Amino acid sequence: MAGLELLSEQGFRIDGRKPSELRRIRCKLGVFNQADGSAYIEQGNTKVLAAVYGPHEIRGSRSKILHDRVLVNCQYSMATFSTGERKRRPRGDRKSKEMTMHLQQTFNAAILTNLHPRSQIDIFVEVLQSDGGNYCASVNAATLALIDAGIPMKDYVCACAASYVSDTPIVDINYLEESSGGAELIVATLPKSEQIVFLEQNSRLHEDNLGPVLDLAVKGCKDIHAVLDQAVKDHVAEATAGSSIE
Amino acid sequence: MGLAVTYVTKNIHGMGIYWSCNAATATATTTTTTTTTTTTTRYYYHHHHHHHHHHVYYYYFYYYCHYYYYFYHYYYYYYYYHYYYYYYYYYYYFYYYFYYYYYYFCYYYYYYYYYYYYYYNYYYYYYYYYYYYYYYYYYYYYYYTTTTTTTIHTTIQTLEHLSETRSGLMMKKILKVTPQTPETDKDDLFTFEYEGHGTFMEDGKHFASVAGVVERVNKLICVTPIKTRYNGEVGDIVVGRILEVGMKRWKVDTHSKLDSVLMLSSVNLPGGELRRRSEEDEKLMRHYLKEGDLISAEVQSVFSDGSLSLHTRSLKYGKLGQGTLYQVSPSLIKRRKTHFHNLPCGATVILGNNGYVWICPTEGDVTEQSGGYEQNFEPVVRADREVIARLGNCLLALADHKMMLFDTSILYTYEASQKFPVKDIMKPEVMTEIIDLARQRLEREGAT
Amino acid sequence: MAEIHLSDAEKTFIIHGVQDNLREDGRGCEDYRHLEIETGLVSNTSGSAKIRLANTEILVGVKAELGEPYPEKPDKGRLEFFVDCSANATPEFEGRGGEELATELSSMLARAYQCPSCLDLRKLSVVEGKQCWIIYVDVLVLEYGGNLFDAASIAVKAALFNTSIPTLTVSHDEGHVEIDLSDDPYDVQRIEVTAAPCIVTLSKLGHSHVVDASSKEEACCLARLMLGVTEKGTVTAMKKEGSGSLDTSSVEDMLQTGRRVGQALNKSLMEVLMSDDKVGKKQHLTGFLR
Repeated sequence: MAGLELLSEQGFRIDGRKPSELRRIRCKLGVFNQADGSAYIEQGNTKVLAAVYGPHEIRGSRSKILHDRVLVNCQYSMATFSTGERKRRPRGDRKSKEMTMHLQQTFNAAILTNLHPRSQIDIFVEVLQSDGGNYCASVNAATLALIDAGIPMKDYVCACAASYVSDTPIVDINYLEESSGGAELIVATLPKSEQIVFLEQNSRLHEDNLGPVLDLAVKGCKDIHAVLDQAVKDHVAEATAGSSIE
Repeated sequence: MGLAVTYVTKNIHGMGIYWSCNAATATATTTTTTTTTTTTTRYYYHHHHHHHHHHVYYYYFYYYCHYYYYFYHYYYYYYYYHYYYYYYYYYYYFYYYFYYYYYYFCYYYYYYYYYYYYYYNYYYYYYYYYYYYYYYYYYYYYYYTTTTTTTIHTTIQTLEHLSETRSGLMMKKILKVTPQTPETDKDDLFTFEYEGHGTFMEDGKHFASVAGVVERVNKLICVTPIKTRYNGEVGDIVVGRILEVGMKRWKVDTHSKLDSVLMLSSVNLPGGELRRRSEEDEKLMRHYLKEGDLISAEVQSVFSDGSLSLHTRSLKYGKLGQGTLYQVSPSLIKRRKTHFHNLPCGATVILGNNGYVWICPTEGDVTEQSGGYEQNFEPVVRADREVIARLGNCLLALADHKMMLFDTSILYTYEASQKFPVKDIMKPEVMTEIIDLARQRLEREGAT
Repeated sequence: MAEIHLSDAEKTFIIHGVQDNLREDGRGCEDYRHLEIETGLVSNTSGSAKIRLANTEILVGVKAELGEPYPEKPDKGRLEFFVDCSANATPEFEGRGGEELATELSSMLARAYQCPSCLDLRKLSVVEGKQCWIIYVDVLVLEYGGNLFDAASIAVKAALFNTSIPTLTVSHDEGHVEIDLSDDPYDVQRIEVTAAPCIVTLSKLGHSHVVDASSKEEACCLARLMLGVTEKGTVTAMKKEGSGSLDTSSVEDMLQTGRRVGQALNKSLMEVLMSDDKVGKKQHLTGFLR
């Protein structure tokens, strides 16, 4: 893209951030009444809604019942008006299916599945506006929704994407930075124990640079964790304020 | 830790505190009896921390203890045939029916007592330890005669020792936690050994797995999340909807993790007969309850995977007639003595523990309850309908503001809403106003 | 439709209430529930609106793109509807579960807006026969609590009102047509939606009919009549839905009620949208963060 530098000489990115700065995160738990748990998160211009139903009895095929664990069922879909170019199908295409599988994998690792045998947990993620970091925002929103639903988890799952541009690793990349063709590393971690539950890397990245980029991404996850934790604490405080007066 | 810690010292009707008060008095009672060992009968009673109304019966029990002895056999004899495996359940049932059946002491057989007594003796001793580890505030006392004093002596001593240590904890510490918060505290007297719901152990440390309120009693720590599916306990009143009719059972939706089950043998037959269920009854199942019907029932037992078994073996439970059902979060329903309220405004409210609330016009003749067999399809009077609509809207307003639901709070909200037309209550500004009024009134009058 | 099963006694209670003009939550037969509208939420669309009607929540995004007009209408732009029932609303909408409902809704909307007096599509034509604006209206159903069609049509009208299409300058250069998109983000043209219709659903319960049925009332009703009504009271589309039957007298009654309610609805909606517009760009868009 002529004239559009991803990283200026002064060290600022396209949207004016520093390389290790995250986008502004705003989130809310308990958006819907009918779902067991729901959350809305805004990471910069990416807006994602997540709804969780469950644990509930497995409807439909009885063959999927797991006698010792809960079945985690995910769906990732994007609104047709979410991208710059209008999307024809909200879900069912290859990318959405891949994302769905990734989400399922991630949350199977984080939820304490042996506490609810023979039941099912549904996680539905809807991307309302997409500006890079779709997977990351989806994971963060789904984590908040699961916490809102009261489903026991080992830890928060926070995801962050990082890239490497002009010899500098940058964190929380937006759509322009994603589509510029540079390396992209998406990481989802359990922040407290710093365990990585999901890792994906696109394009080329020199192995010497992998270390700093990975470290930056993991640190980004920790920062996101701090924000989400504060939001959850506020929500809990607000919710128990009404019921403690008795 | 950086979390706000508030110590709650007042007597909350909930788990823990309530029984600590009882424990203190109970301990006192026990010590007096041990000092005066000349008494021929020692009585023990069993408390379950979930049943508050037993507290009332405790006092009755004190006076009617000899009746208890008699009742015990009668009850056991009668029900052994069908429910011998519900041993634990009997005790609960004893309390429930005690008040009604204490005068039936003339029809029992003593010899059964000795036989079953020894069975029970072993069983409850073991049982006590089991519950000590998994439930807090579980007191177990046992009633027996002097002939078997020696075998129980050791039990008594251990019980007394434990009761002393437990009654010391009069306060409940409320912490607000989020997942993965380590549960360590510098001013801890006890080390945490037992993990309750909402926690898990990793590397020898306790972590919270949900976001919610911490309840710590002695060595047990649990975290209850703010919003969760209904987790059934034995003895809860629930309102459920029939999902499907199966082989000798109905599947009931109670907004819990798994569907609940209502066995054919757990319902009252028409006319209140008590007999074995035959094939005819199986075929007529759909005539009584079909898909979509609403029932009020009580939880009989909890299976190992967490699903509930319900029963409607009382005339006040059964199929529900005309009225409306509202769904709120189960955590907003307080556990109280009774969940059936006949409000003075002319409506009956059933607050199911599972978050399903049923509002209906009060039946004319309250004493004659047939368990729902006779359904009344007459149109409800307009005045009653208005009352029900207003109550329903108040209920939804309370749920929206995350206020606890019990008869007093609903009634205050109802009265505060009288100045608005019914349909306006659902507007946000009106809702906030009436909730504030109700909240102020609750604080003023200190209702619980 | 997401099924709610009700017991016979509950259904009787609801139907008797409707006959008494006192519904479950105290409304009359022609009262709408509390309605909240917010526009301009999604920034990479030309226009958007979010509506909350009690438990029903719908988000509409409008995108304008350049494309070819229909061959039989070379001087008019195109208006295309697409509905997506998100699984957030109910797990039954997962995968292709909500497709039936979605196609019903999109076809009803298309039918309602087909009337030529609703939207002036001629203004959307850029180069006759070759290029025109195609307005893609995408409806996303987020929560379903009864009365989907009414809410969707109100949201669509609000979103279209909020749409701003960049102005184009067309220059004919020796048979070569050049289209210039204006750089100024405020140099836009708005769509005139005063004559756009709103769908009013009338559900027949017992012997009377109600407007804005909640999900419980929808479970009791066997026949519904959906009308597309404009501000002037013109009915642009009519569709009967459901397994029950209606006789002609009740259809006439429902038509009259629908026109009356539709006119009132359109008027109050336009008032709200106009006043909202005058406030200008808001500082904080709360959207879901309220």
